[in-house]
Amino acid sequence: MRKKKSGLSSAAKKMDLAKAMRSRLSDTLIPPPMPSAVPIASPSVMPSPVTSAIAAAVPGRASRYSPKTIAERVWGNLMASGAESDFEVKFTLADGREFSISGDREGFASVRELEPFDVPGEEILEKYHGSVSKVELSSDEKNITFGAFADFVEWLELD
Amino acid sequence: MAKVIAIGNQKGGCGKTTTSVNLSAALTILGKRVLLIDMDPQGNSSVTFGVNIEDLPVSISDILLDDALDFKYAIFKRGNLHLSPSNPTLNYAEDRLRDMTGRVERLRRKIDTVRADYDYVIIDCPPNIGLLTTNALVASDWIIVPVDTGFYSLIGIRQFLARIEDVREINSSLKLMGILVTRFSDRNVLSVDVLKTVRKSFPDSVFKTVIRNDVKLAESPGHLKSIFEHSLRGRGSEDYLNLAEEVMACAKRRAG
Repeated sequence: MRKKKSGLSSAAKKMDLAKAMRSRLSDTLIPPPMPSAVPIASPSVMPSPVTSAIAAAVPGRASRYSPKTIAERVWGNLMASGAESDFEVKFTLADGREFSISGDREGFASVRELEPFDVPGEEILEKYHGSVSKVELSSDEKNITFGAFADFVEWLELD
Repeated sequence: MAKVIAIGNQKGGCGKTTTSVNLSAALTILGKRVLLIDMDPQGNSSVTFGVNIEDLPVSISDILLDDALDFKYAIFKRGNLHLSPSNPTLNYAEDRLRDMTGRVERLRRKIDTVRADYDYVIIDCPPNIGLLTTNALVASDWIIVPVDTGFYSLIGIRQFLARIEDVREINSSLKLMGILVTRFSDRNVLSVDVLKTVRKSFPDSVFKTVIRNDVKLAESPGHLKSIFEHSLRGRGSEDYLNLAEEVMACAKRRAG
């Protein structure tokens, strides 16, 4: 009869080692020193209005509904299916208002409001994604209509 | 002198940030000095390490745009794991970079000023192939390409590898360290098929380590922790520790 090996497996040994060395990941976050002068780049690259909207929605976390995030994800999926052209995603709300997000392969995103909204373009999807009733994606190579916002989110793998 | 490794893939949601955060933590656990540079304007790597990205006196944006600004002003420290955070201002920095001289080499110049202080510099790239990703690739010695086991990921690998070839005209030392399969489940037929196809298509370029599906990996950022702090005995910790050992062996082998 084969004798059973004694002791821990190599994986278990490795995890024991990791546990012993876990303290190397300090819990204390030390901020950098402050420069004596404000960086010259800062004033012209201050966060846009969307940044404060993001902060309000999920503190400290970038929004998954920001135009930039949406455009990057759309491009990722289009690219994966062989598309190379710019694209536009039109969102129709239940009350009939429409807006669109356009993007390209280099990650640029712009928002166009086809109807008046009470928030800046960058914040519309963040505020109104719960009211979206139809999403229409159009590009030279691919056109897709999503009957529900959840289908669009699933296609983008945003969840 | 630090080895610089970019974690990139133009597809979103394939595990770039999860890999950047947990590979950096694993290398630190293994005794290395690590600088993680967050080049994604979403700032999720930064948030995971507890940085309030809405209140950054100096971010990686400033470092990229201001020649005279010392990198040390944008580096947070947690023991031997250091972090240069980003936030959405990086979108605007990218726009401004277009009109600047040496626009694709700005990150490399800044990294050169701190390279001697670290064993590894890990760069978390944004999900596109714009100027930020190009800066990361120009600054790097290696690139790791995470690929999740969904259908779309598979198709995009070759296009991203083609981009790496383009960048080699500027940075001839850039090498593919490996394709890293993430979110793998041996109970999912598509997942198994994708892994087989990736290994068959890129026989010498796929990490032996596979990052298995682990809900703890998805949870840990919400707790502002790496997987090692959130679930040390889970498979996510085991996988990223294995990856770190494979990365170290690869870096040592190719340097020798």
